[in-house]
Amino acid sequence: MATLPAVRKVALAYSGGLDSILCVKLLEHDYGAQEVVLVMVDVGQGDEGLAQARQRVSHLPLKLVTVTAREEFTGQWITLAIRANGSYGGYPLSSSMTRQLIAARVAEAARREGCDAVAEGSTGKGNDQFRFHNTFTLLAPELRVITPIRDLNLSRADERLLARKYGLSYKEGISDDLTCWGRAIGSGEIGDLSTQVAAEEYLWWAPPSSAPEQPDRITVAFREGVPVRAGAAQGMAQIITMLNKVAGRQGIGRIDVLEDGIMGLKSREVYEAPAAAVLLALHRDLERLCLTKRELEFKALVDAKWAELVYHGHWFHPLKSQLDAFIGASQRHVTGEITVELHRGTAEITGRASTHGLFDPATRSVERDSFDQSRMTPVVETYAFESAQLGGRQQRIASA
Amino acid sequence: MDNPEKIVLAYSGGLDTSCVLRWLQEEFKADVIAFIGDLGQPTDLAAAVAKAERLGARKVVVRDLRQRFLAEFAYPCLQAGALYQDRYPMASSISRPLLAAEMLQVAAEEGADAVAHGCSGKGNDQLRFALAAAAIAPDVTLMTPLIDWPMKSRDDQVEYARDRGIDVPVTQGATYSYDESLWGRSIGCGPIEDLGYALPAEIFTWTRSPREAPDDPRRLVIGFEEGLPVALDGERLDPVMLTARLNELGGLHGVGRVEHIEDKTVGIKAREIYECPAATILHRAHRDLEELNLDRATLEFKRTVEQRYASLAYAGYWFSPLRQSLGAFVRDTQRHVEGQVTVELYKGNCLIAARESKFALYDYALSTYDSQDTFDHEAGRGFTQICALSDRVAARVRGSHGA
Repeated sequence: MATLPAVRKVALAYSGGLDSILCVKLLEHDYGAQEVVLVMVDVGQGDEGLAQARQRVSHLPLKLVTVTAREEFTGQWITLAIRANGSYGGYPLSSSMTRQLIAARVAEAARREGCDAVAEGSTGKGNDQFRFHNTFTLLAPELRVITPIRDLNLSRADERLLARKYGLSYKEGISDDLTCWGRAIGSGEIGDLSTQVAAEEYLWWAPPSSAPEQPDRITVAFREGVPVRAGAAQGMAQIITMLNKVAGRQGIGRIDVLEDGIMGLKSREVYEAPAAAVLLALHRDLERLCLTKRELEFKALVDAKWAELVYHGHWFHPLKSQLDAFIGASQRHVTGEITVELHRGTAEITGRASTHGLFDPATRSVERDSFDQSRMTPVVETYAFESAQLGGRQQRIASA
Repeated sequence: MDNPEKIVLAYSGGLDTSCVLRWLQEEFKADVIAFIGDLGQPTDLAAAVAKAERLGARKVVVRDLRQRFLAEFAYPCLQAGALYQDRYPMASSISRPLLAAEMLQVAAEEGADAVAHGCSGKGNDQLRFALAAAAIAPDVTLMTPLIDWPMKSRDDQVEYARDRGIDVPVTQGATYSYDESLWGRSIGCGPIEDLGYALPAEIFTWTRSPREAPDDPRRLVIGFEEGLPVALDGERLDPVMLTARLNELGGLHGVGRVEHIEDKTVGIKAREIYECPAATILHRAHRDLEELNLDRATLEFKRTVEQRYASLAYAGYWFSPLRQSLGAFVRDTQRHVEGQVTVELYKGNCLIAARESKFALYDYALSTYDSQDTFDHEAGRGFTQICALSDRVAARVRGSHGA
């Protein structure tokens, strides 16, 4: 193993999980850090989780800084994700985004506290090490990046042993990562493709069989691609909270996918993201009403690239902001209301209303007299020029 | 359609639009306002104005569109790397939307109830006018006299013109058709439509044959800011001055001839010939600077955007929502496209001789293989293993070569 770099004062991305708690001790013992500042970033993982995380380190003589980024996450990051129809093979990129948001805030705190290094608790096997490292180096190239669990090549069993040795408390059981935009369950830990995650492991989602008898009908209003109202809920934070609850109990938003990770390895991932599932579906539907055919066609390419970049840890990459410029320009007319009926695992769109809609039954209808069908003959013939050329060539070849 | 009473015609001074100018008056008893857009074409504008007046135009409106054409149409295409089918840097394609927009503006100012152009039904230009008009003024009547009038052949048209004292170019029969603006010159029709016919020297007026170009190369330093050319050899120049000078220098050295088989929008293949020295040089230098200053992911994705942008601009979808959104992407990519590119013009070539930028992502210490190398070669080992990971898994499952 390579020699570990010496550090003086380190800002550690702290979540309250075993990895990050253990990092405190590793930084002190193995790296000789004189001072460790814990930086906890509130991205909406819930007050309970934050309080527990604080509790776990309350006996240690450390400075703990809490940075609030909840509003930024819902108001800016999720907003951009909705406008980009952000989905990586069905995954709404929840933790992919929060990792980078956390990294950005930790880097900022590190500079404020006069640290010479930043640290985080990723292992060497997952995606998060790339997301953290990429963000740290892009935003604070002068800081050293320390990833103790990976550097010391610790297995989960090694970690438990060390935790006992240092007298650290942590939560046992299936691991999860909670954000308001989605919750990852046992990320990378479900090795068997035939196993189901037990119903009680879900926070919001309930099996469709146990959903209410009655559907929930909700009208969501969008302005320039952003949800502004859903039923009685106003603003992104309220809307997301309400939909996680309502759509979740209607059996919507369980995502069980095989995901191609950053290193190119497949893993089975299970998420629950009821609000994301509903809002992304409605936004896409509204775009189909309000954007031209050519815009939709090209935006699908842009959206796919956006999701790929965000998943791969490039939230702050220039290309991502350039894509946002395109997407922003494309959303000027994505304004209107979509009504959805949530019931037992399905979300059915039952109403659409928009003054920006491009759907025009009067133009479309062949019942109207004003449309002279015969004018289409030369149009269709012109459209078929290339087919006529290709057909003619086939014929020449066949008769040669 | 009710008979229009006042029509604005996009007028060039040529045979087609001169006939149209008369025909609209005779057919509809309408007032016709001739609109002439100056895009830097070598037409004698005063003569064109006099001609329009002589043919009965109620009014002649001349607008100098040169700076606007370059700044709002040609330069954005340059930033977008918009080369249709990788060859054609646009000229007529982007001048038509501007002419359409300006013609509609004149129509609004003059209270006209229709606008008209002199394009045939076969080419790209009628579509470019129509798409622009639809996007800007969806309810204004756009007249297409060349499609509607009874003259079906060139002979019919020549006869019509002679009857009304409209001069017909003496070269008729062996004619080529030309269209020019500061951004380029296109050459069409005549014997060159035969793919075996070698290009005659006389069709080129902007560029020397590379064989006859000077033996000494010309070096030229082009300064860019935010993806826009702003200076030549250290001298700051406005778009018109800069483009005109590059057309002259490039032309002298035989740079900027384009000849290729092009897919027209209606679905026909055509042999197209252009002279566009300034556009050729600027695209070459601009791309080079992008390669120096943009990251790999941006360069890669921008190619996709460029192709779409070029197809839309070529077809005439200039004012379409998608072209505008692509423009937002492109502008955002250009923030760091600043620096100096030295090109060498030599017998039809435009070679890059040097490049320099404070935003360059090139790092000598990382790139070099000499003793100053700072790249950690040991790290390359692990990186290589990870890059090979998914193919290695596939090979184990499927057998070698992933078959």
